[in-house]
Parts: sequence; C-alpha cells; structure tokens
Amino acid sequence: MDALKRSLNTVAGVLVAAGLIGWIVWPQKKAIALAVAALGLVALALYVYLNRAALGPKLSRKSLLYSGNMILVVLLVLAILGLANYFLAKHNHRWDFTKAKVHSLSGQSIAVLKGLKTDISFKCFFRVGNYDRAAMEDLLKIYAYHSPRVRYEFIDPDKNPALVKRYGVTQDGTTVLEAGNKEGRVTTTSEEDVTNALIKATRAQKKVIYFLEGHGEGSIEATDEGGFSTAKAELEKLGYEVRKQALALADRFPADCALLVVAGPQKDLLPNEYETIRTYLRNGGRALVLVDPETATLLPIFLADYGVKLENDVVVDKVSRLLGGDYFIPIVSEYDASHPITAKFPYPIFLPLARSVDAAETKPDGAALTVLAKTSQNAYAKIDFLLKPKMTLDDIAYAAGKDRPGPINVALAGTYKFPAAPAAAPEAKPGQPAPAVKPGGKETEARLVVMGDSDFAKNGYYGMSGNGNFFLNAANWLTEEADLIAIQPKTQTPRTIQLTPSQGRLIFLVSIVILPLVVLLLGISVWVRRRSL
Amino acid sequence: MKNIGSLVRKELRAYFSSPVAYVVISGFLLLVGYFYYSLITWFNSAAMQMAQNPYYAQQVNINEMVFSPLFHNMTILLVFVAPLLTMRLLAEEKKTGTDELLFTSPLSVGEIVLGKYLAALIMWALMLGLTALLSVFAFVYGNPELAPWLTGYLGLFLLGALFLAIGLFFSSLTENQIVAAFLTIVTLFLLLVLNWVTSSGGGGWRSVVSYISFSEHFEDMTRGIVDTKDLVYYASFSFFGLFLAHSAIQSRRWR
Repeated sequence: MDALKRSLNTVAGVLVAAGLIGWIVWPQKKAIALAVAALGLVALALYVYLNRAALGPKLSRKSLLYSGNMILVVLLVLAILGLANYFLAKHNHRWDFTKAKVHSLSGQSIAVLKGLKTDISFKCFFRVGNYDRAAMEDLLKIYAYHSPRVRYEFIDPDKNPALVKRYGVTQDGTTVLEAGNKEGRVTTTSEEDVTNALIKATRAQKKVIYFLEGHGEGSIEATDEGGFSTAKAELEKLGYEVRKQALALADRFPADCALLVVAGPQKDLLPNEYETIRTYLRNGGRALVLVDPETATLLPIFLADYGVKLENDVVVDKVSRLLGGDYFIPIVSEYDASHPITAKFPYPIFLPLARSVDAAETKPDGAALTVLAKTSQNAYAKIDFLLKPKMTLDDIAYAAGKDRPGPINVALAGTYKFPAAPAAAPEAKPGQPAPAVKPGGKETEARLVVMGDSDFAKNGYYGMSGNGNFFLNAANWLTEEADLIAIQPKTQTPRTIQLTPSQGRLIFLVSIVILPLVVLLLGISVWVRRRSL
Repeated sequence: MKNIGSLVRKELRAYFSSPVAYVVISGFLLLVGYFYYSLITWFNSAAMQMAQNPYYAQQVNINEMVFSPLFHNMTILLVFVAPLLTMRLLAEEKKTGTDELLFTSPLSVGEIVLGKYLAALIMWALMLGLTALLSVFAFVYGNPELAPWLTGYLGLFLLGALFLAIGLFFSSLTENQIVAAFLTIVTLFLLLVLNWVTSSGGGGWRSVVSYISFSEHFEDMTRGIVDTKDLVYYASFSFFGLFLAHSAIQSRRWR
C-alpha cells in the first residue's frame, strides 16, 4: 500500500503523458485520450491527498515560493516581449540600402497599394521546386509591407488539386489575386504585371460598353437566338457594364464609353451618326464593328477611311462547313499569332453568313492594321451575291474570274494614332456636340476591330466553339486602358570582379594561409610565454 | 558602469591569455577564408560567362553572389563558434568556486551578466573585423556595393549578439563547459533551421514558428535591407537570453 502511495505520482505522470500522446497521434479518438488524461489527474490529486503530510513542509518552503515567483516573472517578460514583437512586426519600417533599390517597389506600385480599398488575397500556385517561387515571395513580401490589405499564400498545385480546379489553374507559377468578387491572374513575377493585375482587379469604376441601337441591331436584352443577352452577361462577368445607346436622337455621346459595339446594323446609320463615331474615334475611341453581308451600304465607305475594305460578298465554305449547317457558315481557325486578340487562340470560330473584311492597299496615316482571322483555302467569297430564299448548289458555285478564292479574311484589327488635336473644338457639326478633346493635346490612339459577321456573337451561336472567347478577347483588347502602368525594369550596374591568376593566388594566400596563421602564431607565442613564466 | 568596464577588461584578458581564443579565431578565419576564396573564384569565372549574354550581364552582382552566401555560411559557423566564446564565462566560475567570490563582490548580478556578455561581444566584433579584411580584395579588384555589405555585417553582428546571449544563459545553468556548449549548439541549430517545417503552406502557427527562426530575420540583411521588425527581434531575443541568465544566477541564492 505504501509503495502504491509513493509511486502514485509516477502513475499519474504516465497516464497524463499517454493521454496527450494519444490525443496527438489519434485525434479521432479524442474521448479515450481525454479519459486517460483525466484518470491521470485524478491519480495526481489522490497522490497529493494521500501524501499531504509529507508534502506539506516541502510545499511551503521558501525556495518553492521563489521559484514559482521567478517562473511567473520569466513568463511575464516572455509575454511582454512576444506582444512587443507582435505589435512592432506589424508596424515595421524597412530601408532598402541598395543603390538601384532592387528590393523596393516603384512609386506607381506603392501609390496603387496605398489606394487599395478592398482586401487582396494572392493565391500563388507554385510547385515546391519552382525557381520563381522565391522571387514571387520576395515581391509579395514587399507588397504586403506597403499595404495591410495584401495577403498571400503559396499553394503547391500537386498537393491541392481541388484548389487548382476551383481556380482553373493550368500553369505552374500562376498567381490568382482575389479582390472581393473580382479576380485577376499573373503568370510572371514581374512587378509591372502584378501591379497591373492589381489595378484591374480593384478598379472601382466599371468600364462601360455601349451597344449601338436603332438600326435593327440585335438587342442586348433579347434572350432569343438573335439577341446579345449572352454576350452582355459574359461581359458583365468580366466586370464591364453593358448599355445600349441610340446615337440618332442623343444630343451627346456618352463620355464614359470605353467601347462602342456596332453589332450588325440592318439599316444604314445616319450621316450625323457616322460623324459622331468618327469624332469619337478621332479622340481615341474604341469600336467593335460587326458587319453582316448585304447591309448598311454606307458602312463600307465609312470604314474605308480606316483602311478597311468591305466587299459586297458572302463567304461560302463548301468543305469545312458546320456539320448539319449550310454552306454559309465558314469555319475559321487560322489566326494571326502576333496579335494579342488571337495569339495562342486555340479554338475555331463559326461565322454564320459572313462577308470578307480586308485591309485596304492604302491605309491612313498612323494606322496599323492586322488581319486577325481567315478561312481555309476551301472557302471563297462570292462577289455581288444576293441571298435568296431557295438556293441551289449551282447558285453558290464558285464563279472563276468573278469570285475571290480562299483563304478569305474575315476579321481585322487596327490601331490609329492621331496627332495632338487643336485646342479648338474639332470637326463637330452644329447640333451634334462631340466629346471634349482631352486636355493637354496628347496624341490619341483609337482602336478598331471589324468583323464580317454579327451572328457569331448572338445568343444562338455565342456558345459555339470559340465564338464567345473571340468576342471577349476582342472586347478586352479594345478596352485596354491607357492608365495601366508601365514600370521600367530596374537597371543595375554590373557588380563584378576580374581577377588575374596572380591576384587569385594572393587572395588564396592571404585568406586561407596568412591571416589564420598569424593569429595561430600569436596564440602559440602567448602559450609559450605563459609556460615559461 | 566602471564596474562593468573592469569586468570586461578582466574577461578579455582571460580570453587572450589562454591559447583557446587564438585557436578559435584562427580556425574561424581559416574556414571563412576558405569559403570566401572558393566563392570568389567561382564568381570570377561565372561572371565572365554571364557577361557574354546581355540579359545576364546586368545581373552580375558580387554582393548577391559572393557576400550574401558568405554571410549565410558564417551564420552556420557562428552556431559552433558562439558556444566556444560563452561556455566558459559562468560555468568556469562555478566549477572553480570563484563564483562565490564574484557574487559577494560589490558587482550586482546584472553587472556581472552584462560585463561577461560585453566581453564575448567584443571578441565577436573582433573576429568579424578580421574577416572584413578579406573583403578588401573585392573592393580593390572589383566594385561591390558598400551598403549591402555593411548591412550584412550588421546582421552578422546582431545575430552574434543573440547567439552569445543564449550561450551565456546555458553557461549560467551548469558548471560543465561541455554541457553548456552542447546545449547552446543544439538550441541555436534548432532555431536556425526551424523555418524548414514552414516551407510549405501558411497558417497561424507556421508564421509564428518562422518568425522565431533566425534565418527569417537574417536573409534580408545580407541583401541590403534593414527592417525594424528584424532589429526588434534581435534586441528582444538577446535581452531574453540575458534575462534568463540573470534569473538563473539569482535563483542560486535560494537554492
């Protein structure tokens, strides 16, 4: 009995330890572990109770009191230091002493970070061995330093397939930034790209896209096959605001217009409408013009001013036509690989009833035109062709000498640089106020995308293959804002050394032989001297 | 203050009158010299290759490619050197029984701790100063940037201050110098590599663990960045080490 009384504390210790170990190793059997630990505590209490006579004097000893006191003080100091570190780590200041400030952000980036209104979380999908991971972490560390709203975490895509799927990450080294319900992504570790993604994801003001109406265009509200409601919804998902705009009766062109979409007008625009659009473009406007065959007679003339050649034709594709569709749905899968809209664009697009869109031989000054997409060799453009209710194969047969052989160009993108406008009002007609000329008289750049079909972006065809993506790509390129910042890469002076062989030998001798040896000899001399004392 | 000064002088005399200090310093210099020489000869040929390519030519940087790794290597050496500097300080007094004498002298416990600590710190500064002589070659034959080099040495000095405080604490616990040194090495090494477990993922405890780890606070200093966060970390850890040593000595009075 006595032995049990004395060793009860050991039993208690073993039980408590076993309980704790059990809790850590088998967390699913928490109840058993807790029960074992509780049993240990009971044993401890029993031990104290049974041995109270022997323990009494020990417990009241001065040293125990002092020890307890000291432990308390140490814990208190530890807590104070912990709190101080916690607080000061959050309110730190850092200095970058490198000459080129290579470990600092540019002023533009810092301004963007200081202006953040929402929390940003960076989700960095980097494999553990990815060389860029450290660079990204260093960069985001500085972003987080400048703004408490920035949070970041690194996710190993191999270990988190669910997150990879949820964020649609397809490339190692992708960083997704979330700002509220908006998101952006970067696949490089350059400050410029990260900051631009940040600007896009946090832009409070939505860019507004206007669809022209009043000429029989498909409505952005119509949910039937001929409407643009799907395109509208998809644009809104990207953070745009989509409205419709009638120009004929409006006394003012909307100042917030980021992009004007002329989506397949069935009737011609009025001359003053053309004039308004022309002024809009002159001031750096952006327009996406979708022109169906056999419509809008003045539109080709208007577009000719911008180096765009529209023939009165219809593209016929007898081979690669849509399965089950007729010969008027050419499939387009040859793209210009250098243009941002079509670079790496992997999907074919279907253009129901399309006309050709070409670059004219003579283009206006300051214009740069790119043919974005063309049909296969098998397609051809029937010139001066009228669609009839019932057409036979003979009607659409290729007429040598008259029709144009494939490949037929169907989409074109152009940028137009206009010199600084005079301060006076530009060529606006009376009663048709033009948008104000941007102050400062800066050179303006207009962007224009012309496609020979409007149906591909309508509800009926929007979801088909790459149609929707192509439409969004074009819209994104057109609305690209000039305020997205460009950050110069930091130029550093090379910090190097050129050693001749004899200099190398000198360094070897001094650093490995002479310096340690001198100290060692000093020691030996001290030792010898002290021995002889 | 005068008391501390005389104690520091006495301790420094003790260092230099025995061959141990010389052996430690010369061994340390030999290793640092070896690292320096191999890094600089490697860099010499690598820089020549990089200079061929205009993209890489601009990124040739002796500070980041020679000094930064050199400073990192020196932290590893420091894990073993710091205990050699501190193990004797309090343990020997206890072993030889001179601690009774010391603690009954007019010096307060705080002054004793501080005096011994400062002596070790001066030794460390001296060792760093000697290694800095090697860098003269780089500055004569090349064009390193001075500021990151200086902040790197500042970081090494502060890290040494922290290590010595921890070493002093372990020296105060025992009368066996080997035990003191070994406990110090284990603790320092563990704290140096503590952030390895945090290399993947985030989360609350991971950020605390990586904050405690030395390497988190040293990295930036080798690249020319000084952060108040790191200075606070070094100061508080060093203070805590000294405070623990102080408390351990105090506790002898009633034990």
